[in-house]
Amino acid sequence: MDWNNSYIQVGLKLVGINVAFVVVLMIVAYTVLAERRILALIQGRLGPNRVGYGGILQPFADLLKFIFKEEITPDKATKFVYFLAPIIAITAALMPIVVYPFGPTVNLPFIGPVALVIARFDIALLYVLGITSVGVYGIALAGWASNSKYSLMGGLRASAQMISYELSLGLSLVGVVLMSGTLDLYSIVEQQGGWFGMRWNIIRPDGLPQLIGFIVYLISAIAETNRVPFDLPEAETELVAGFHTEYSALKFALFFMAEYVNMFTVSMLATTLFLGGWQGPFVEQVPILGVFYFLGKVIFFLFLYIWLRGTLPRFRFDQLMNFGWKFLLPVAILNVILTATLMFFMLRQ
Amino acid sequence: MSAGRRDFVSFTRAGFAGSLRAGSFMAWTIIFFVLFGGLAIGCALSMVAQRNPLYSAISLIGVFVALACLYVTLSAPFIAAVQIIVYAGAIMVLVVFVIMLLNAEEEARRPVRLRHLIPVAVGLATVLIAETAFMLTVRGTSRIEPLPSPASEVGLTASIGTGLFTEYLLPFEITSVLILMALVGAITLARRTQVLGMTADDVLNSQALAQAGEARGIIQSGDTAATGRAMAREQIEQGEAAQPSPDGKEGE
Amino acid sequence: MVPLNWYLALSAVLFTIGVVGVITKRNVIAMFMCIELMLNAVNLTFVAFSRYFGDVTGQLFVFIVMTVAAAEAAVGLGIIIAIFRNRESLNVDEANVLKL
Repeated sequence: MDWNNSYIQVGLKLVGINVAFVVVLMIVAYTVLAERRILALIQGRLGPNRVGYGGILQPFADLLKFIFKEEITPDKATKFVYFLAPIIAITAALMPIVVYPFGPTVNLPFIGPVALVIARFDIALLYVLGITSVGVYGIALAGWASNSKYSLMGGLRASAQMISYELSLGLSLVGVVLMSGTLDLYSIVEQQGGWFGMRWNIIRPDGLPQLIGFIVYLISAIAETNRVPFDLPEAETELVAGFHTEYSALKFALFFMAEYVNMFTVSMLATTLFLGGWQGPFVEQVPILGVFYFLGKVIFFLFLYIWLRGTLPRFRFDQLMNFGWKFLLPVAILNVILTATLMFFMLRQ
Repeated sequence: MSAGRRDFVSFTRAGFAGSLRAGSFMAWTIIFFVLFGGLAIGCALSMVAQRNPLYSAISLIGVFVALACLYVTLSAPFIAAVQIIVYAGAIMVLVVFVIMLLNAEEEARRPVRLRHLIPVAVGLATVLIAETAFMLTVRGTSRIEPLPSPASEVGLTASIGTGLFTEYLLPFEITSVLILMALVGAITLARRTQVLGMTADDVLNSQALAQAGEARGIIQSGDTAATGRAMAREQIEQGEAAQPSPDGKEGE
Repeated sequence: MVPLNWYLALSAVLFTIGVVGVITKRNVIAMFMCIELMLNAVNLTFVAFSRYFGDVTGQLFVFIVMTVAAAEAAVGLGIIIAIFRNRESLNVDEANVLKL
């Protein structure tokens, strides 16, 4: 088999996409289970531990429940948009998965050196930001199409929140891009390789540590994915269920999955840009260790999300918008100015 | 980028397989052009033909995505990403918000006396397209073929950044002033006029204005009390509810 | 290879559809969207020329056109909302006198 044939390359990429899809869905399913268990343990109870050993098969039970539930469509809902909204939400959540490098270049036995990334191109970071911007439509259209006042309020609030925090999200990443000089995620991870695998962007020993950028990114990411403490638009005690009030069974499962896949995506972006991706000690000697480092860091972020959910109260909507526009955005801009100034003086030496 | 370039190396071997593999790159660019161009035209026609403005907005988002894919085939990945971020992700979100907040209705069928305009518009459009086709194909200049694809670095982020900050720095700075103007304009337009310095007289005047408007049938949206009164009046007129008794003791 | 003329023809078709939309539609938001379609058709021409002559100037100009379109969208939609507040209607046929 000549591995340079373009059709074989396309086939390989399709196989990679399928594998990534299955892996992401598995991780998302078990994140839901982990969230329920960890939240329960934080709150002093046990959580689901009956199905399978310690609750391991719970996601499959949930999936069966979602499939067999009755699909109730509101009578006056705009049917086409009602069906389109969860499709947009889940597609926009799953599309950015392909650009993340989850390991260094490993030497597979038959194929030769393979870079563990599905799609490597020049503008990977802009691609992620663009698809995240398109994900707003799923929520706005769902809120509108349900023809219910709770849904409309929740949908408009959620989309306003998402587009407000997208700005700080993008600006917090500019510091990293300035230091790395490229938008390609694989190169950004490669450049965090020195210093015994610990030259991560957050603690860059021979540069400017991107701590402010990291904190701004973390807060913006939590607001983007509508998680506590920014989850007013979909909190159960506030707006029934926000924009997905009128969705039942499989369509609701799609929204639910889209939220957790979004969580997973922003965790992967945080580890890639700030925590060094697959970099860590001894990765040059044992390349496959990189995959484990990557997974460990992503799971740390997911645990952080769940921990915050169990611990913090939620913001009121005007407090949320004030915080995003009047505090977070200026801090992100300050971070860009600071990074650019310090890089200019460091380069001049 | 080097991994991507390896994708388009084709091995020349004798026979049909060789020509198919060698020509597959050519065939794929034409296939992509027809696919995305057709999608763009289809969504554009749908946008113009739909009467519901929300469906028009969704079709326009489809046009933008198709155009972004066309830009990728034209070796302009940065512009494609910026198209998705700016057009599909920001401008159309704004338009969809406005449609939802203003509750834009479907366009009613136009009155009979204006219906002859549609065939005229379509006819003139066909004439324009036929003229363009004629000029481009029969009387056009030599068919320009593009440079081979990995030959230049044009379109990658580095080239755009270099151009934007060296040769075209003045337009770049002027666009930043333009965005500042747009910001000031949008905030001025969105401001309510009676925000600052409302005195008690202003409050009473606005209440009087609202009541005068309500008497003429104009009710401010969000004025739940006036809406309730108007609904009660309507129900009394249609006989669904009884008149309130003058001393308020009805129904005991 | 796709000849340049095909891209110019596609751009002309999209532009024409936009013009037809602006002339025939009466909802002011729909007219605004058709104007955006016209701007995008021109962007396509710029990018096609930039590719076929190997010059990055076309793409830089597309960048600037997109910025102008974003600014125009912000202010234009603000004006539309202000008009709607006063006239309670989005029909341009009804906005034919200067008096509110």
